[in-house]
Amino acid sequence: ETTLKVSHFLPSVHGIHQDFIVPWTEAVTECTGGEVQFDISPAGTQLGNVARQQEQVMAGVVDIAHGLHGIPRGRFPRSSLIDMPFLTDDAGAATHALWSLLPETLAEEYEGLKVLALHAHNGGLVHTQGTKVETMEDLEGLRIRTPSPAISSMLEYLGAVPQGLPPGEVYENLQRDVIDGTVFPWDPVASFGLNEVLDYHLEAGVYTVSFFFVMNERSYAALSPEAQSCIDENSGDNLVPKFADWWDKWDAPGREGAVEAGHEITTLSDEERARWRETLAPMMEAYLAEVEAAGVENAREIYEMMQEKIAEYEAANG
Amino acid sequence: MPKPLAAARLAIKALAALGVAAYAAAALVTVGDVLGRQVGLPIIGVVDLVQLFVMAGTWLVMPHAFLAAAHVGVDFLISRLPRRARHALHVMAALVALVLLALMLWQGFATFETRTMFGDSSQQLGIPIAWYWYPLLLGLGLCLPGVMLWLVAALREASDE
Amino acid sequence: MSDAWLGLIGFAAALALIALGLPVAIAMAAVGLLGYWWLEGWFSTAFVLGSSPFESIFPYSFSVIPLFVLMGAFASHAGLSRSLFTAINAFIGHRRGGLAVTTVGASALFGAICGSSLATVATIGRVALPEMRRHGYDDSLSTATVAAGGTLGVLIPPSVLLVIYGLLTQSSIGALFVGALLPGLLGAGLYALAVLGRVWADPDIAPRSERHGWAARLTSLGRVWPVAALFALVIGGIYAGLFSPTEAAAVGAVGAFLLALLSGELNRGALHDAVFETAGLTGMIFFILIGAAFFNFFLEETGLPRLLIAWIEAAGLSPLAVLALILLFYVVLGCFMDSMSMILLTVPLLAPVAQEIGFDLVWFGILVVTVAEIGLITPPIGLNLFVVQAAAGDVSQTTVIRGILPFILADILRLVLLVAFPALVLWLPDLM
Ligand code: NA
Ligand code: NA
Repeated sequence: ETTLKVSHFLPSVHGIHQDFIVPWTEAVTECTGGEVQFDISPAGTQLGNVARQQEQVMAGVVDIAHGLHGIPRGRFPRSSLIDMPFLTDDAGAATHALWSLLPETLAEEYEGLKVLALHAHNGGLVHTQGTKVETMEDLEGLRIRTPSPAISSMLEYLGAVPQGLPPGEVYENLQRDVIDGTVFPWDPVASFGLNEVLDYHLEAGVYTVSFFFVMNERSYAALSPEAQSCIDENSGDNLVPKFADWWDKWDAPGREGAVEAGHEITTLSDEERARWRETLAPMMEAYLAEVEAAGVENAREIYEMMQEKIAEYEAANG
Repeated sequence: MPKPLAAARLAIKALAALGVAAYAAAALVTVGDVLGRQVGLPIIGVVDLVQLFVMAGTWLVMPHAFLAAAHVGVDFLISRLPRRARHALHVMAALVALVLLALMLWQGFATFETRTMFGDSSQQLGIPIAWYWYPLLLGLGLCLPGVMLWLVAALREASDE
Repeated sequence: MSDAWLGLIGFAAALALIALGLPVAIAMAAVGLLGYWWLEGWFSTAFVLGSSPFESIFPYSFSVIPLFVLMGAFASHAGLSRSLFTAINAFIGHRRGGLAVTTVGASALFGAICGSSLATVATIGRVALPEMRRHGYDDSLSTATVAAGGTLGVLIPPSVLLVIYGLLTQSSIGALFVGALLPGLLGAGLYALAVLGRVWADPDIAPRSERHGWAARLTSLGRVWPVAALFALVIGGIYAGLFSPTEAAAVGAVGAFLLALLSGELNRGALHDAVFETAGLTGMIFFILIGAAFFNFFLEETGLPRLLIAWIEAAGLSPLAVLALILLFYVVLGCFMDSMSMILLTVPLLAPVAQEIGFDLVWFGILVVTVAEIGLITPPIGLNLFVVQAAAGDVSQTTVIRGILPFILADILRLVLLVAFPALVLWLPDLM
């Protein structure tokens, strides 16, 4: 009997823990007839630090880890290109793009790791209190919490004042009016209780954030062939397509909570969306140049391939 | 006191003062942002800067804390032991601390090398992560002579009997 | 031998080393690392050794610790806090224990600014301990009052602990904040009674000062404005939305420095002392956090907390007995873990148990947060006890522990009241 260690950075009440990771481990355990057991360390445990997931799975401190491509910054420059504004607002499309580009284009970022899945969340929104945001002008001067450098730079171009904050501090800062809003998908709005302190939600679908679910290659090699095939059967092409529906499910409580609380939910109009894109063109250019300068010579090419894959998915899934 | 140890004591004090100056910098940059954003001139990336200054400050004051706060612990049992046993225990405590700090420094350096090799940088401003590590390595490094001072005192106490 | 047994042995070993005079941080670190090495091998231990000293200091929210300590050091060395305590003494010094009761009030008030128990103890300790000593108070009373007072802040918003609990259990953070208010005030009231009880039993530990006339009282009041201004600035700024609770520490430190400068008492000597006290105290607090991180890696790996919870769940006891066991479990765990790690580690496992029994999750949350904080003041290992010892400078841990018992009794009484009268928690949120 082998016990594999799994770590991730989300609280154990989160859908990623309950719908994805726990059932995944149970399926593998069952498939192996109990030979492979799992020990999961979520957020709050010593192994649950968001910034350390890649490092600890590489070092073999855990066997399997689920983490964010963007934290710490620069560890997955190629995969992180999916986080660029306006690529897609659909978790399914972004996930498909990442997964289909993995073998040819992204694989070198995962040396020493067996990639079990890559995925990305549905398009993020602009949530505000006090001020309703419908146009770029409405954003002028608002202090908005930002999750990543790409989004900071986007907010600056749009006239807002980006404020970096750990997600756990967003509630108190909103409650005290220290910030005017935050960009988040719907899911953390529910899990951080933010509907209590927000008023308006703009479904702008301007960005996504991407995740990896990987296994240490040595840990994988140490398993019996039967156990290996159990892992394989539950991962990759059999796992990745589930994320589109999962993300819809995980996002639902946030939106429902906002509707219940009587908040106003607006969708970014097509004209306004076009204006934002136009305003952001120089920023995207600068961002790509920066990634290129950091050593990813084909950053532009990868970006374009992502656009193609997304178009391909959207065409197939309407 | 032997010369090198006296020099270490002085360096440790100077570093502690520098560390508190770093804390002051963290406070000032925050207040600068609080004031600046009232007039539309926020300090971008203030969280990164505060983390940098607090990290630097904490590791720069650490060797001094080792000297100053060595007494914090439970003493009700040890104070009832015979003098000889008490002094032996003091020596043991200093030795354990020494080994622990040496291990932390050794592996800390390895982790520093990994993270700088990956080119890690701070979340907003992209400050190279190495800047967060230099004070840690320096501070941990100077904790070693700090604990040596402690050990010397314990040994002297033991041999004075 | 199961790993859980190893967890228990680890507890015992750390206790033994601490009893033998090893500094707390070193004892926790040494046992934690050896245990982790035994369970996980050298490579994992090396990873922990290399990363924890960094990660234990890096989080932005920890910046409040050095900055509030800095604020306290300036306030105390420039005589700002002395003028406050002189004034309070002029008004109530002729009543026994008045300064200690005031310290309880100051801690609760400070809790409205600060969400960190350790930072509160360090700050109030710097301010109140020298003053109580100057007025002849016994060290065991004054240090214990400060250590216990530090636990009040978590129930008075802002409180990161309550936010985290809300996230973990999906309960309303607003309701938790409101529900915590009466229990927080109750805690302060009971602590004041604990002070008075102790003083009644042993009058010598808190000498009366002479009764001051109204002229003296008004004069003393005139010198209080800098401290009043500092509090008004920090609390007012938070509630007006000018800055966040985390930023408040920075505003407080800069404000205290400027007021100290204005007061004219910040000479070279005072500055020197303020700087080196800040250095010693914050360095020690962070080193304890590093030692606790090492120990917690080990403790989690043994699976001991999970096993204990599973055992409570399986024992088939009455709801009240289950609750009592859960509360006891937190007190024991509180010997080693800081309250934040405890909440994160155990609430996801315990909240479903509580929910199944039919406990209200807001009420349960207030109980859990209260009891998690009690762990900070229970000997043999209570982090607040060590921080107050460091803040006092020359007081033994035995002295601190000697004074803490009445406060622990007050906490137990508070828990009993909250369990017997859930309305103490639920009345205000129900009005919302
Ligand atoms: Na508080
Ligand atoms: Na305790």
